[in-house]
Order: sequence, then C-alpha cells, then structure tokens
Amino acid sequence: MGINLEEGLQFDHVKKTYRNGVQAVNGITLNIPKGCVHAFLGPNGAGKTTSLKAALGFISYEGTVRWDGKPIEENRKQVVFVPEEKRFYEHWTLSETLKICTQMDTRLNSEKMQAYFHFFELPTKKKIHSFSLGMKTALYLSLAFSTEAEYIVLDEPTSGLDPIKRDDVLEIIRQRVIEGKTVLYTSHIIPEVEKIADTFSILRHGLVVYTGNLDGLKEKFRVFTFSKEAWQKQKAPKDVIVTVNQNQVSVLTDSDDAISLWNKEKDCFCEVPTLESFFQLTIRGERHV
Amino acid sequence: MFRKEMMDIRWRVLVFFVVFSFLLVGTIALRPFIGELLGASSKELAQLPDFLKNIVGDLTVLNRMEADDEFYLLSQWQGKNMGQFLPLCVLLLVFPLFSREEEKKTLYFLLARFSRQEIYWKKILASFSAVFALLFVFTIAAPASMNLAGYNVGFQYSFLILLQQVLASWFFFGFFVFLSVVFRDQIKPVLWGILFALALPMASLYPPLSWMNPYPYLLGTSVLQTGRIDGVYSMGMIVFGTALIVAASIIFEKKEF
Repeated sequence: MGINLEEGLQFDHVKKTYRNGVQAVNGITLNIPKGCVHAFLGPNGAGKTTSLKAALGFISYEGTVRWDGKPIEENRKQVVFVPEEKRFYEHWTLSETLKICTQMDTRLNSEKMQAYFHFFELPTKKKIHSFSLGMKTALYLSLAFSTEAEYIVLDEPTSGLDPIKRDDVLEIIRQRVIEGKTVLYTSHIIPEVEKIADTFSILRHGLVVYTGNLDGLKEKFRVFTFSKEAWQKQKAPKDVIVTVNQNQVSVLTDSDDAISLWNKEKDCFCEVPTLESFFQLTIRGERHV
Repeated sequence: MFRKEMMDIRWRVLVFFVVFSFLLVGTIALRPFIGELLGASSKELAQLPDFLKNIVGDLTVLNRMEADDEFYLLSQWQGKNMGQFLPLCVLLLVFPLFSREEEKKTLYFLLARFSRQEIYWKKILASFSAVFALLFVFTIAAPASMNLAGYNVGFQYSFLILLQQVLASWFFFGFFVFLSVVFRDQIKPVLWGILFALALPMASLYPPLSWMNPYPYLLGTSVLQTGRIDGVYSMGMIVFGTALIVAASIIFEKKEF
C-alpha cells in the first residue's frame, strides 16, 4: 500500500546549514502517518529541534515539509507547539494568561484550559516568573492540550515534571492519539519514549539512522555480546553496528546471515534489543557496512 | 493579539502618563513666575551691548513668551517639556517589541500560532497606537488645562505641532522597530537607539548635514515661527519612517528563530 501524501507529516530531503557552517540537518526524508505518536530520538546536536523548527517554519531550510500535503503557512491552525525552552510571559498571572490567550487564539477552549490548570495544580494568582520549570512546562502543555489541533508538536514535553505528573502527561498524550490526533515528540528520556511512541526515528549528525516501530525493531534486530578475544576471532560481517566497551564488544545487526551464524556461536550472548540498548548502540557504535 | 500587546506595553505607557502629567502641571503652575522672570530678564538683556545681544539671540522670543500665554504653552510644552522626551518615550515603548520576545523565547508562542506578517503588523499597530494616544492626550490636555487654569489659549497651533510630532515619532518609531527586529537581545536596541537620537543633532553641526537634525521639526519650531507645517520635512519623515518599517517587516519575515 502506498503512502498517502495528502495525510500526515512529510519531510522530504530536508537540509539545514546554519550561517556558521554547522550542518544541523543533513537530508531527512520521513513520512509520519496521522493518528500516531512519532518520537525523535538523538543525542544533543543530532538535529531534533532543528527538524521541528524547520517543520514549523521558524527557520529556512532546503527541501520540503508538508502537513497534510500543505506547507505550514497554510496549515498553522492545525498545529500546536510546546517549545524546548518553556519560557512564557513572566509578568502575567495565570488568570491573565487564560484571558489573553483565549482572546488571541480562538482555538483555545477556556474551560479545558482551566481544567488543565487545575489538574496541574497551577496557582492562578501568582506571576509566571515565580513558577518552577515543571510548572512552566505544565502551563505550555495546558495550552497545547486545550485546542482541537490535529498535530501536537512537543519538544521535551516532560522537562521538570515530577514522575507522577510525567506519567499523567504521557497518558493525556495517549488519549489525544486515541482521539485521532498526531503527536510529534522529542525526548532524551528513552523509557518515556518506549512507553508512548508508536514509531520513532533516531537522529545522528543530522541524519535519520533508523526509523520504525518498537515491535519491528524487536523482531528484526539482535544484539550479540562478545568478549574482546572472541570478537577478534570473528570475521567482521557486513550490516552490523559494533560498540566496544571495556571488556566486551556489542554488535547490533538485522542481517539474517549474521544472526544465523552467531546464534550457533557459543562464545557470544544473544538478546533482543530494548529501545535503550538499541539507541545506545546506534549512537555509540561504529557502522560496518 | 492586540490586547496582549497592550498588556505588554501598559506599564511603560502608565509611567510616561505619570511623568507627562507632572511635567504638564509644572509647566502650567510655573506660568506666572516664568512670565515675571522672562519680563525682568528681557529688560536687563535689552540693555546689553549689541555684541552680547547677538550671543544671547532673539530677545523677541522672550518678550513674546512673557506676553503671549499660547506661545508660552506651545514653546514650553510641545516645544520643550513634552517634545524633548518624545524620542526617549518612543524608544522605551518600542525597543522590547521584538527583541524581548526573541530574548525571552516567547516569540515561539506567537510564531507557532500566527503568520509572521500578522505578528509584525499587530505589534506595530498596537505600539504606535500607544505612542499616538500619549501624544494626542497630552497635546489636548495642555491647552485644555491652561484654559481651566484661567488663561485664554487656542488649540489650532497645538494640533499643527501635534501633526509634526506624530510624523517625527513615526520616523523614530521606524528606526527603533528596525533595531528591535535586527537585534536578538534587549540591550543593543536601547544603546543604538540612544546613539541614533544623539547622533542626528551632532551630525547636523556639519552645515551640509544641517537638515539631519529632526529636533526643530519635532519641537514645532517652524509652526511657532511661521504658523504653518513644514511640508517637505513632513514628507521626509513619512518616507523614511515607512521605509524603515517596511524594511524591518522584510527582515522579520526572513529571520530565523
């Protein structure tokens, strides 16, 4: 079945080089279907936030990004965004925020917003400058969840939240997806992504090095752990990612040949990768193609 | 969004409202003393030798200020106490318009919701409305208060000077908006704005650049001298101010955040 380019979010050969010569995004092509949570994973500087900024039209870039087949300028009303830096108008109180934001942004549902403020236990009379990072995150999330926008773009949406509230937020995100919304999500917290993401992309040096879902990953990939000595006896096969630790070598592969070869090998230990181990090996490892 | 901009600017407008109110009360309250002082001074100055009179300047201005309440008000209020603060007033109202949103990262909240053109022009409209409202209120308030205080003062020349001050404010507004768009922090627009406001009269000390000093126009000198608006300078203010506003909108449209 072909991909419907009129639905979902499409990145097509997106490249971004900043004026100082830093190539933040190096040609991302990605199709994110509607009605799912898609997570961007990657170390600092991998290009996650730059990709989001390109998609939202905050920066210029090469290539195209389409939201339901349209550029962001034609579809902005269907998108809400929670930025990485959760700084808001610090001289406002929460009641002022409610009044001004609902007047500014007609998509916002005042009752829902109040309900979220209450849910996150935000103080209505305090100025926002007195809020903690977690409270500012909660404020941004309240604004994002109080609309019926089709796309919810969240850049590190749980920063500063306590573990209970973090779980609640993940639950709300899940609920929004059940209602048919699409969530684009970046995070450094891999267990969180594992819990919530339907699909994910791992970015490294501005490139997508893997995109897919967790089930597919567990089905296709295996991690083999060798001692250094045992690994030296191996003939290095193709299509593997090798990570050398202090005393052992971890090898990630989806090659059928390698998997069937090493499954018979007694000097190694085979396991199904978790997202955490997959991410670590993908980012730290050296690719042998 | 207009309301949000008004919320952002309200405290600064209030500060200028209070400052201008004090200055206006002072200007009116000092009228009898200034009149006496100028009367005495002009008699003493008239007895000076001619070469000293040349240094002191036109003594008829002092005589006119002593005798004419309206001239006193125009020259001391729009021509001095309020007028000289206008560039500073515009600067303080305008400098954070874009630079603060960018520095504090609140611009993402707006960029995610509105087109850049919408953000830009609503900010321009809101902030210039505030500048215009302050100017208009204190232009009307001055002759009205003088009349209430028992003097007989007309409004006609106040409105002519108001027109010049609105256009001069538009010019300064354009430059300060430009600075606010170009810089990513709040300090540079203020420093460059002050430098610009000071550099113009300095540059005009060089005779071929004498036209660069907008302060005689801003303070309504031509209206006081001729009773008419300086048409050429007014056109210049409109053209330069608008050009700067349009240039800033193009930069804002293309800027990366």
